Amino acid sequence: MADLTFNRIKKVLSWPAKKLTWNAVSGPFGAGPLPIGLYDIARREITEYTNQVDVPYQDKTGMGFFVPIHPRFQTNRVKTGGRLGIHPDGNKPGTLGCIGITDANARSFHNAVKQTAPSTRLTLLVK
Amino acid sequence: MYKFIVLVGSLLITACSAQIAINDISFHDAQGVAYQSSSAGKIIKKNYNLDSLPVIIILATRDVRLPIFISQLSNVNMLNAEEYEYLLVIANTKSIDSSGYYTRTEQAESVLKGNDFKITIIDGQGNRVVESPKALGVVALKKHLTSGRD
Repeated sequence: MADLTFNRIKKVLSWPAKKLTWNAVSGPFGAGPLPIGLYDIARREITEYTNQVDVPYQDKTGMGFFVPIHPRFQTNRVKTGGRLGIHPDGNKPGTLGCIGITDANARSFHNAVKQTAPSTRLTLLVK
Repeated sequence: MYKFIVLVGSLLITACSAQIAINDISFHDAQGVAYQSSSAGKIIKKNYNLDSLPVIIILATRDVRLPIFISQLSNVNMLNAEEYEYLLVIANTKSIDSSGYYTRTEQAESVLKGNDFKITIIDGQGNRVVESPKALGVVALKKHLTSGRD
């Protein structure tokens, strides 16, 4: 079982073991929502929660972050749609396929990831 | 007289249905959700709480290795899809790539209408803004994407 789950229909990103949930979207722009499947979350590569990230990665507080995700299955998505990840859904509503957290303040997601050991292997199920 | 009116009405309905069937392009997203080009913009705007209707770019090809397709894809990718609010649909007659928006191979064939390549831009209301068997440059793409805004 994956550590985190993104339910596209309910638009919810959840981390059951931590009893945490966030409102989130994937798509619709460019190649659209993420393909269904299992992804690795690049825990070590998460940026700081900062106002130095680009506007599309900022939440309503003007702060933001980016954490890459890598599909565990064969897909052309990274080739055609660019780097995938999880970040606050800044700028206009919607993303290029990344999971965009739509809550006004996405700090709790960043904190939850940062609280894990850097060597932790986190997985995400997109369904 | 009554029979004549019913007959004319039936013919009109048939003609309208045929028109929709011919013009509408069906496509799917990476999660298998099906859309019709005539209504996708409105549905997606509602589902995602978008500020405006997204534009649909359909790149149809007989082979994703064709230079014209590669060149057009490269031009499209130069324009940020979130900024220009477009969806990119790949219509390939050879195979389906379900990692993004795609059409079935039969649908791709009907979009191409005998050509090897075609780009079609559809505005959020489902109207065709442009349809071309030649690749469009970035300037032309920008023009068509912005003119297709609601």
